[in-house]
Amino acid sequence: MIRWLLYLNFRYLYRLSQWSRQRFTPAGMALLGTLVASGIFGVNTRQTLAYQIFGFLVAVLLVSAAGSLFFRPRLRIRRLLPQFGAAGMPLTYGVEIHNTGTRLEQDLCLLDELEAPFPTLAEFRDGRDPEDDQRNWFDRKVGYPRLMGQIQKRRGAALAPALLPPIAPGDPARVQLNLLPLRRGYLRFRHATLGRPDPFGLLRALHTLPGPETLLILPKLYRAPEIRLPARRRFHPGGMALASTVGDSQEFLSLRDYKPGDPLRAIHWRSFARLGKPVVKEYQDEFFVRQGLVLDTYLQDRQPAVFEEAVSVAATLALRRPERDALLDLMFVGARAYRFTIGRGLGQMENMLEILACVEPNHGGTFTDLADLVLQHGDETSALICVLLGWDAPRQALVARARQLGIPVLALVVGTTPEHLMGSDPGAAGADPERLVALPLDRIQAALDRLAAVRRAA
Amino acid sequence: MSSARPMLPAAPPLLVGAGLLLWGWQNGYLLYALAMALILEGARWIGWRWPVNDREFNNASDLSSVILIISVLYIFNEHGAKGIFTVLAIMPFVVFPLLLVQTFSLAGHVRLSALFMSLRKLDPARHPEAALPVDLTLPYFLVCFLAASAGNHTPDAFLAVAALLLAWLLWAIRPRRFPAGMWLPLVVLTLALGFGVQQGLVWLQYRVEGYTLEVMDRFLWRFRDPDLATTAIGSIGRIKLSDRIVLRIKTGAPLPGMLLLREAAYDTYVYGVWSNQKPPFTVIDPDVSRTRWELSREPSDATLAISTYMGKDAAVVPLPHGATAIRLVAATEITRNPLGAVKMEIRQGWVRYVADYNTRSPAADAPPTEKDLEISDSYREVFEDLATRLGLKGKDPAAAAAHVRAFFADGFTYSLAQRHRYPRGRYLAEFLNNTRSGHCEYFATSTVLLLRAAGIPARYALGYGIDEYSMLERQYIGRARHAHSWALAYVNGAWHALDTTPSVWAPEEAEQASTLQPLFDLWSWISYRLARTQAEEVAEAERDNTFMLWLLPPLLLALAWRLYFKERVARSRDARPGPVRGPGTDSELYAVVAALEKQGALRQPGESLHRWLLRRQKIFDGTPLAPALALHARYRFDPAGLNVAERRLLAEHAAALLQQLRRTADDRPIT
Repeated sequence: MIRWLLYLNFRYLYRLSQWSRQRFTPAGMALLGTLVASGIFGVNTRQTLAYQIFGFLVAVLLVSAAGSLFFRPRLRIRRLLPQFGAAGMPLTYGVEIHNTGTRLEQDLCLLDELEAPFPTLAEFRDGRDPEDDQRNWFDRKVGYPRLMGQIQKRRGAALAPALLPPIAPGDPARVQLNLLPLRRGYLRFRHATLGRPDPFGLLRALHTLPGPETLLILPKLYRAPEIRLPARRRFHPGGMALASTVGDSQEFLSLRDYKPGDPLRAIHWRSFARLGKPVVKEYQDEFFVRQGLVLDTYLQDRQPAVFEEAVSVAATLALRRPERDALLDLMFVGARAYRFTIGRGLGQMENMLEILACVEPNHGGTFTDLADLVLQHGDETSALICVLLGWDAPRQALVARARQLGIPVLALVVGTTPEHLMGSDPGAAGADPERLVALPLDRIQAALDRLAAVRRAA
Repeated sequence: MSSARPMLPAAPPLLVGAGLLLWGWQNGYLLYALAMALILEGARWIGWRWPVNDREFNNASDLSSVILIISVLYIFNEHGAKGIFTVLAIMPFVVFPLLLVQTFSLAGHVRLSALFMSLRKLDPARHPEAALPVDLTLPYFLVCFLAASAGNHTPDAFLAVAALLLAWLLWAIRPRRFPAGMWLPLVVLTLALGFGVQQGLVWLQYRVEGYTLEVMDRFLWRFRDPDLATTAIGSIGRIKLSDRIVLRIKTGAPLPGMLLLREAAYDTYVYGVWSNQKPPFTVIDPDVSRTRWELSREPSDATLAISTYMGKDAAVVPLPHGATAIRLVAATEITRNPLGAVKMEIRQGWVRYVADYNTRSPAADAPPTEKDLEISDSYREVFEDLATRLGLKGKDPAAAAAHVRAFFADGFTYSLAQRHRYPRGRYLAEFLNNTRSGHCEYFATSTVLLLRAAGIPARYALGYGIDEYSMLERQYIGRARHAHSWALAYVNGAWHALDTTPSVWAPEEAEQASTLQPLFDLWSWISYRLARTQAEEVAEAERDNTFMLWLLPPLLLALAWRLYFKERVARSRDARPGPVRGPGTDSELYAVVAALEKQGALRQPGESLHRWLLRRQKIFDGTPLAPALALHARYRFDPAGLNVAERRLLAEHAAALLQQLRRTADDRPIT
């Protein structure tokens, strides 16, 4: 009940604060605060003269409010967004405003807005925030900063108002806005609001220009290590049907009689017409390297930061220059099991990064779903890189099973320390400790660099 | 993503210094303010700066916080809740270290995280707002601006300077698209509107206070605090108290003048509030009847019966000066404090008690203390000067008191309205030297302080001035607006009442009464009498119940109305029931009784039939009476009754007795 009341109050408080931040200029906010204080101290007009300040400020803000009622500019807006951004990396984008009216527009400021759905009561109640540890008891208990953190995370970035230069009629103006993406995924711009201060510079008249756009923010990327697993070429019956015909794929071998079960598209029609019986084309079977990149999405009760770092590591490894003619399968389980392949002309790196930008932790299933997916394609896989969120029995079992199938496995365990990893049962990877690597949250880049150094030394 | 531009615009040059000077002037810190302003504004002409890092900014901010906490603790401990205004007044001192560090730092601004400890721990990568730069000059100016108002020194000058500084600030932050020719008239109009808002606030406070006084007067008027009394000195506008009757006083003879009934006395005055050191109340023992409490051993020469309403179980009650005893009240306990306030513990509701008093005897209060000569610093100069001017110092106390009375009687007028505002602490000076017009609190307070300045111990007394006689109630009444204050002067070793308020005060207040007041008074009287009727009073209570006759005509009319219009049911003659007859009432013995009675033999009151007949046994001349009586008793009262034979036997006995009775009557007269 108390949580519900708090939630309702916070909801109104948030809306009020959003409204006031848009409506009031910084100086206006300062005077508004002074108005409140003078109202408190000036309640008794005989005690202090604060009521005189209150009276003046009420009048000033009333006139300001009246002065900010009418604002109908004729402006068109266009964002010049980059293709990608990366979480945690500041980026700059341009906004072009075109004055289609007949009046000089000046003193304008641009307030670009990102969508930030308000968390539900359940999300507010059950949400966890790693920064709670740094907050005081009251903030932790009441939860308003946590709620603000949730909203900020949904918004995805912090945006500051930008002042626009005077725009003559018919002229465009361009302004650069700085943005710091706070998370991966899509940032959804809702609309842009133009504000123009009143004659006293305290309140803004607002005019909203619709402009829904999205900007993909990629996971944070590390310096990628060079990883060479002893991968051997694997037999792929029928080859890669969707692959382009580079290398030794789709090599024609001979014609032979049709056997039940042969695909119709393999029928050589001209021979069929000439001989009067179905004849099919026979191709050389495919042998090539196909690496699997397994992303563990089963966060369970671990910190969300562990998953974010795992995604970053997966994205870093996916961005490595693939070996010639090798394929890379990204495998993870989200709402369903995914296996996305790039290499040999199949798929685009951008698509894989987009997927990685949007992947979410899996809260419903069990790790065996992912293990099944990996092992289902085990006979096609030359090597596996597993980015794991822990090193418990199911994960150890996956690595062990892959090794039994003769697949070299590199297991990267995010959010743990080498000491902890060695302390626990190393499982099947114990035989090759170099292929079981701990990536502590605060030393991931160092661990990846060390991994590369070890590989080079080997 | 933050920009390098600070969150707040900087205050224009010299505005902070001007704000500091206004603050120093209004609060009496002018020298400090001058030094602070010179340091802050002079920094523009100083070429060097400190390379202050974030940690040092944090330390400066923490230092300001620590100063604030210590100040708040100390000030609240010293001044209580009102210390909040003292805290406001010293805020520029508190924030000064932080602004000093900012002014002389290379950065020229502080990070937002320096101001909020909670932001310091957050990851700046995720919370860029923590690193936002803040220029403190504008907030500091606003703090000075607000703190200046706490001085309440010169309202008119403050108004002018505040308007000027605000216009200066608005000029500095105005958007440049407005030409000065358009902007300046707008500012002037806005400030004029602001002035109107201020006047509206003053008026609103007056109305709210008036309403609150009315409400308190209506509902809480009996809860006189014997230790604290807030006066209306400094209130602007017209004071209005209700006409509600709160006291009823029955006297043996008409009052020669105004009767002062005191409730409490106070010895300390600061800014419109009289108080005392909460002297303890001591219990007064009743006499053996437990309905009389002796207050003084002086003989009494007058008596009052006072009716008052007790809103709670224990409250201060009004008593005349020189009260010697309280009688005829079923109080649980009566206590008294050294300043003469008498508190009665009794059931809630209307209470009536009899007060004996000596019209020539002074009040039996505790002798004066140092407090009774104290004048707070805010008024000392005014009253010392006046006492010197009037030549009161060194004068005989009685003569000085007479002089004070004469002083207030000459040129001072009574007024319930105050129209001018003055700085706090100057209202009494204005009353004495300029306006010479006020209500009783002005007169009483000024009298007390003037007597003290003359070296005469004096106290402030609060109660009622009674002089209105109600023809309806045939007694004196005290209304809420009869609340009155006067001075108590310690002259010739005793406390004497010194009421310097012009005697026109009561008639002037009566002029405010509503034309419907007689109706309200009638209702009040009826309510009072009904309440008294329901209450269990002591024996002395009202003997005069003729007032009930007032109620009789309307009640009879109401009854007649009800009876006439009541639903009536037609009577049926057949259904009329016959007389109720008990068993055995047809006994033949009754014929004997009737005959005997006819002969003049009457039964004594309470004498049973059996005993009466036995007493007359001789008349029957040997005819057996006892069997007839026994059968009659059984026939009359035995549930089983008599059988036919016995019934016949009773008849035969009765006939025999009757025959004998007639025979005897024929022979001799009955004696």
